[in-house]
Amino acid sequence: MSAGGNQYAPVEFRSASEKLEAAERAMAANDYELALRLAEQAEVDARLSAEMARSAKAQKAADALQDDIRVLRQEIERLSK
Amino acid sequence: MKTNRYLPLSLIAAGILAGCSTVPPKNTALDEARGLYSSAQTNPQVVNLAPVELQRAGDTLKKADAALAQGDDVAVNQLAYITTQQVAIAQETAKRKAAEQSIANATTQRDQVRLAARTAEADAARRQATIAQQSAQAQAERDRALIASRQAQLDEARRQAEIAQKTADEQAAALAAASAQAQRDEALIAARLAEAETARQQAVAAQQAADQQAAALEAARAQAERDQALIAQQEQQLKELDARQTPRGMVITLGDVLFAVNKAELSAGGVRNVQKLADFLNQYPQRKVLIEGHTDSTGSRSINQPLSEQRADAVRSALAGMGIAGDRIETRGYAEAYPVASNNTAAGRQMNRRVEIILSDDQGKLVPR
Repeated sequence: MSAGGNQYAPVEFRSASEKLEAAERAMAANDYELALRLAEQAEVDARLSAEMARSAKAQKAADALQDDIRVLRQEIERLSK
Repeated sequence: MKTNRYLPLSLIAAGILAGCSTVPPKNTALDEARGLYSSAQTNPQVVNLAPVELQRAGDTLKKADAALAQGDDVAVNQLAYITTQQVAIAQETAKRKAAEQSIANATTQRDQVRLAARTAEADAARRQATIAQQSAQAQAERDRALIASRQAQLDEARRQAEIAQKTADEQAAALAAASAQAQRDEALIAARLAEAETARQQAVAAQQAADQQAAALEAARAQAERDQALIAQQEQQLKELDARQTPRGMVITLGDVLFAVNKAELSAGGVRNVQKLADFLNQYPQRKVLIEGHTDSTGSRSINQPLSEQRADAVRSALAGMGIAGDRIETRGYAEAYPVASNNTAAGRQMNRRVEIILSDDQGKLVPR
């Protein structure tokens, strides 16, 4: 998972992984209906996990920028004195 | 997360629904999913930033409703779960885009702030430079003031030194002047001493001169007294000689009665008078006498002239006989030429018959007629 879901959304990521494994087991047991449902759930969990990771990264970057800005403002404040 | 809980709950709900098919279809998982979807729909961030994702959740929710209407509980639970997750995806997408917008804005903002920071830095540097310059200027001012102060102190010290030098010079000059004054005083004192000595000597000389003058005065006074006495004596003697003062000098008249009648011989009285005259002439040897014989107008000229001469000669002879030198005696015979009274009376004529003896002054000078 290149989106970093295992780092930023570990619960969703694990859920997706487990459901994918469960789907594979259902396939092996020829329970195709259950395997389909589990695959659909694994997909949506994985998408959520990826989006949460992107969102978290973006938020982190935004926070870092705000920190930069705050530091710069403090510097300006200090320099203006 | 809710996701794990939903699955068993959905399964329970599906069991309940399956047991009561006559009641209106109901599914707890679906209700929860619908609530979450409705909530997301009222969130402007989600509506604006994740419309596609929200729409996808809405689509899934409709399928779930359709499945519920068909009584397919398994499908309802499956679709409710997927709806729940898609709402969450929409929310996360909206959050991500908001963060990305924030990043875009913040980048611009950060660039502006960086610029402001650089500007502020430059301003601060400029201010620092200005402050440093002002500080340097102030320091320079202080240095100048200090130098001026030092200069003033130096000037004051120099002035004090000059005053001290001047005072020393003045004192030296005063000492020199005092020394010169002392020398002058010494010279003056020496001069005064010399003058005093001179004056003292002059005083001694003056004293001696005064003594001499006093002695001379005393001598003169004594001489004057003696002269006075002599004059008095002389006057007394002249008075005894019946001498009278005339313009020609002292004149002694020997009257007719002192001669014999019509003769040239002296009577005894006449001799006495002549003796007085001889005494006088002996006492004053510088005096001379002029003897004049006179007659009255009676008788002839040939008688009167010789008679007057003879009577004058008689007196001279008498004086010579009494020791008077001949060069002190002159004689004249004037007959009747110089009467002193009228010849018309006997008394007058007697007065005209006479011998006049004129005395010279002390230098032997005689005044002739």
